[in-house]
Amino acid sequence: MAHVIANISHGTRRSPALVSALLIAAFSLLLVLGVPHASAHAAESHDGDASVHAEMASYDDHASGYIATSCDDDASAYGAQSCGEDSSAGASPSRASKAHVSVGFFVAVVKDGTDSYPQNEEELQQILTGVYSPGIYIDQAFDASDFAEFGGELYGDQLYDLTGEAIDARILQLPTEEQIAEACARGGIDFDPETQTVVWYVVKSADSVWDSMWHIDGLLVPKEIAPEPGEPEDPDEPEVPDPDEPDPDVPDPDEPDVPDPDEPDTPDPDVPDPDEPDTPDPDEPGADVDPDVPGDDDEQDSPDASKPDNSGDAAQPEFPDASNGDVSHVVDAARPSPNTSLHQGGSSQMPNDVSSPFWDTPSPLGQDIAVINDVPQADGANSDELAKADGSLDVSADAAAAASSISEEDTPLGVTTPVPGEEPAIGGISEAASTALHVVGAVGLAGVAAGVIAANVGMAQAGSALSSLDSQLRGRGRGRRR
Amino acid sequence: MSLPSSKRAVLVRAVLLIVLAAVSLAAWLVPGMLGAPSSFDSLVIAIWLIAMVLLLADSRRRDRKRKRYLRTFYIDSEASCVFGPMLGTRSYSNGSELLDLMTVALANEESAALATPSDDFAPEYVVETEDFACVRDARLQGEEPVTRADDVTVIRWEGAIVDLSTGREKEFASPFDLEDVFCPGCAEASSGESSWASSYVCATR
Repeated sequence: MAHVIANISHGTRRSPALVSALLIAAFSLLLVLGVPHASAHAAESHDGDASVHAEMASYDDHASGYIATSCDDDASAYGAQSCGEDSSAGASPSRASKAHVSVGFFVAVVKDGTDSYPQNEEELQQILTGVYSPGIYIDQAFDASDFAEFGGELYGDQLYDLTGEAIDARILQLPTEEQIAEACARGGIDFDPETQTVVWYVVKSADSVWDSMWHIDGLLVPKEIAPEPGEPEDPDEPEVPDPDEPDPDVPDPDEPDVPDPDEPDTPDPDVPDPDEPDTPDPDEPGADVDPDVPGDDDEQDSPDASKPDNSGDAAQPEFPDASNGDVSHVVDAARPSPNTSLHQGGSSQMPNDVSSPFWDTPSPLGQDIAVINDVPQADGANSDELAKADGSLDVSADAAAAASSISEEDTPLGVTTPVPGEEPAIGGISEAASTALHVVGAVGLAGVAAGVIAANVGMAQAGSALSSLDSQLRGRGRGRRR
Repeated sequence: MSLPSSKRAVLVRAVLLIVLAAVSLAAWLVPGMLGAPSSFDSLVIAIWLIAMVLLLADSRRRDRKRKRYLRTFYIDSEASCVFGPMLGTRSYSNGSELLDLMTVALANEESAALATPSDDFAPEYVVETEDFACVRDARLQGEEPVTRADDVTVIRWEGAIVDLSTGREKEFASPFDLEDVFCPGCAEASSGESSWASSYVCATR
C-alpha cells in the first residue's frame, strides 16, 4: 500500500489520470450501487419462473405436511373453503399486497423414534437433530405484511407456532412434495411422503450477512403424530371418520344429504356427480394418504395429471373426492384446534372462477396477488393467494390464534423470542439506515478503489516516462557505437 | 526512531486509506449483520476485494518497474559524465567518485526530483540497480539529505551493468563488484587481484 500512496502524487499531477480515475470511481460507485438492483431484477425474474413451476406443481402435490393434506388436493369445495378460511384469518386485504417475500423452506429432521409431536419449545429441542435439508427457495411465498407488527421491527424476529397454523396462514405458496423430496434427497434425508409430513412451525426473517432469505423451518415428522388441523367451526359440518379407518362407507349415511349452507364447500358425498370423471373410489385403501387421488402415484409423478382439478372448473365438483380427503385428514376431535383452515392456506386449490356461492365474488385482491406474482393463471390456478387474501371467507384471526399450541396471550400470533438452538435474531435496523450505510460503504469502497486506481495510473505514467527516457538513452548509446 | 517526513506522509496516507476501507466495509456490512437483507453483500465485497488485490498487485509491479528506472545510471566514460533520473547529469573524475555519486543518489532516492539529460548525452554503460539498501550515519540529523558517500553504509546493492556498445551484460551482487568495475585500483588495492569487472571496464575504454 505504501508504494501506492507514495506514487499517488504522480497520478494527481496529471489531470488526465485524475479525470480517468474519477470516472472510474464514479463508474465503480454506480456499479456498486447498481448491483443489488440489477441482480435483484435478475433474481426476481428467475425466481418468478421458478415460482411459476413451483406453483403449477403445487396444484397436484400437497404432501408437504398436514397443511397440504388437510387442504387436500385439487379444487375440492371443502378444501377450498378451508383454505379460504385460513386465508382470511391469515391475511387481510389491506396487507396482502404489501410484502410478499421470498422464502427458503428448510426441513428439520427429528430424532428417530419420535412418537409424539412437541408441545413446547423444550420438547422441540429434545427431538431436533440439527440436521436440515437444503433450502427450497420460492419467490414471494410468504406474506410478511404483518410480520413487523409483532416484533416492532421487520427483521430479526420470528413467527413461531409449533402447530404451524399461524405460519401457514401467511404462506402464500408451499413447497411441493417433489420439491421437498428433492431437497431431502440432496440433504441425504429420508422422506417418505406416504408416512411423513412437514409441519412448518417457524418463520425467521433475514438476519445474517450471508443469508438474506427468509426462512421457514418445518419439522419432518410422521403423519400420525403431526398436529392435525382444527375442526371447522361450523357445528353443522358432517362428522368425518377417523383418517385411520380403512374403509369409510360411501355413501356415508351419517353425512347429511343436503349441503349445509354454513359449510359451503362441503360436498355431498351421497350424491356423486355422474359427470364427474375423477370421482375416486372412497373405498380405496390408500384413502387415508391421499384419498381423492386414485392414481396417487401417477399424479405425484406427473404434476399435470391433476391439473384439471386445479384449473378449477367449478362445474366439475370433486366434492366427494375433496370431502373424503378432508374427512381422512382434517378432523381430530380430540385436538383442540378449532380453526381447521389455518393448516391449509398454502395448498388451496380453489379456483378463482368457482361458481360456488361461497366463491361467487371473485377477489380483486387475489387478482392483485396474481399480478404481483406474475404467474400465468388458468382458471384461478393461483387460488392459494386468492384464498389467503379473500376477506369474504371469515375465519377470524382470533380463531387462528386460538389454534396455536403456544399461548397467544403471551405471544400474540406466535411471535416469540428466538428458539434456543436456532439462529439468534439480531437487532433490527431501519431500511433508511440500511440504505444510508450501504451508500456510505459504497462511496468509501469506491473511494478506496479510486485512490488505488489513481495511484496505479500515476505509476503507469511515471513508469512510462522513465521507460521512454531509458529507451532514448540506450538508443543514443547504441548509436554512438555505430 | 523518527521517520523521514516523506515516509511519514506515506505512512499516514496508507493508514488513512486503510481506515477508510475498513470503515466503508463496516458500513456496508453492518446492515446485513443487523438483519437487513443482504443478498449481494458478499458478492460486492468479494468483487471489491478481488479488484483491490489485482490493483495492488499491478501497482506493486509498476512500482518496482518505476523504481528500477529511477535507480538506473547512464555513464558516459569518455566525457566522464553520469546521468540518473534522481541524480541528474554529473561529472566525475574517477571511478571512486562515480560510485560515490551513485551511492548518494540512491541514498536520497525518496526525496530526489526527476531530471532529464542533455540532448547530446550518449551513455556507454548502463548501471541498473535491482536492489539497494543502506544505513544512514548517525551523524545525520533527521531528514538531512545524504551529501557524501561516507554518510551511509551500503549493505545491499544488486543489479547489472550493460555495455551498450557491445550489448554485454554482467550482473553484480555487491558494491565490491562495482568497485571492481569502476574503481579497479581500489579493488586491486583491497583484494590484490583483478576481477572481471575491472578488466571489463579497462578493455572497453
